[in-house]
Amino acid sequence: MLHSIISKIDRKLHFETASAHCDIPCGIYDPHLAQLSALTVIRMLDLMADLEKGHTVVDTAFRNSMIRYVAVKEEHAEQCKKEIRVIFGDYIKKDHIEKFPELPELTHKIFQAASKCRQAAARENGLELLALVNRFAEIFWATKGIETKKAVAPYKPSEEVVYPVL
Amino acid sequence: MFKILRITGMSLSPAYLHGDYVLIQKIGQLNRLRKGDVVVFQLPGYGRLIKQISTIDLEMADCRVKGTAPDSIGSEIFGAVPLTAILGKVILHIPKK
Repeated sequence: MLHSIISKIDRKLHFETASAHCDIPCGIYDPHLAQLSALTVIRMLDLMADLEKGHTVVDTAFRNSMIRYVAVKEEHAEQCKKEIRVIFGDYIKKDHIEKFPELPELTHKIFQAASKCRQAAARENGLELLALVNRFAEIFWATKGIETKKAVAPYKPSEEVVYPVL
Repeated sequence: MFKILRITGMSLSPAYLHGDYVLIQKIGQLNRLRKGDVVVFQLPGYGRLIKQISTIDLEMADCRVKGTAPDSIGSEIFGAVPLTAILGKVILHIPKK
């Protein structure tokens, strides 16, 4: 009875929560895997385009390579979504969103951009995904009071990545 | 200072379950901490947690906490909790059932 009354009041006043989770909140969160996944998607798109240009015959060797590039592109687009989902779901708190109100929409845009990378083969889709994930990384490190810098990754596809300054 | 909070998660089961409410009171002279008390505290990187006190170290001004469910985590994972991080101790438990 008392719980029922408190529950009704909670629906109006939105009481704060205290977590008694059993998950091991190891506290280890890092957007770098999401960034690597986005870079891998771009790399696969580049390899697919190169293969298309370099092959005059669509033979078994061509199909084998193309299918493998597509498979890795699919895997890493989904990996990117998963990494962002875990950070947004498990690490990001209400006060982070209050400080960075763009976070929920940015997260949604990342999911959509990753799906677009799976659906099509345009390089600009991969670049858009990386740009969004880089912005997410900037915010993530800002929540920890850590500055970031941009540097070109020292491997192909040689695109700019946000790194923490540690 | 009093506050009502809703519990999420099951690490204090069977006594405290997900969806239960607790009324906490800020720790002070008239409301001291004791071993076995259930407390709510704020821990950087973990957020606002609710656990049971297992030991208190007044010299170090901290305490060690634990969950009561078999696979719960406590100070063995995240270390001692500074007494200043404690928001209050449970003085009333309002169970769902």
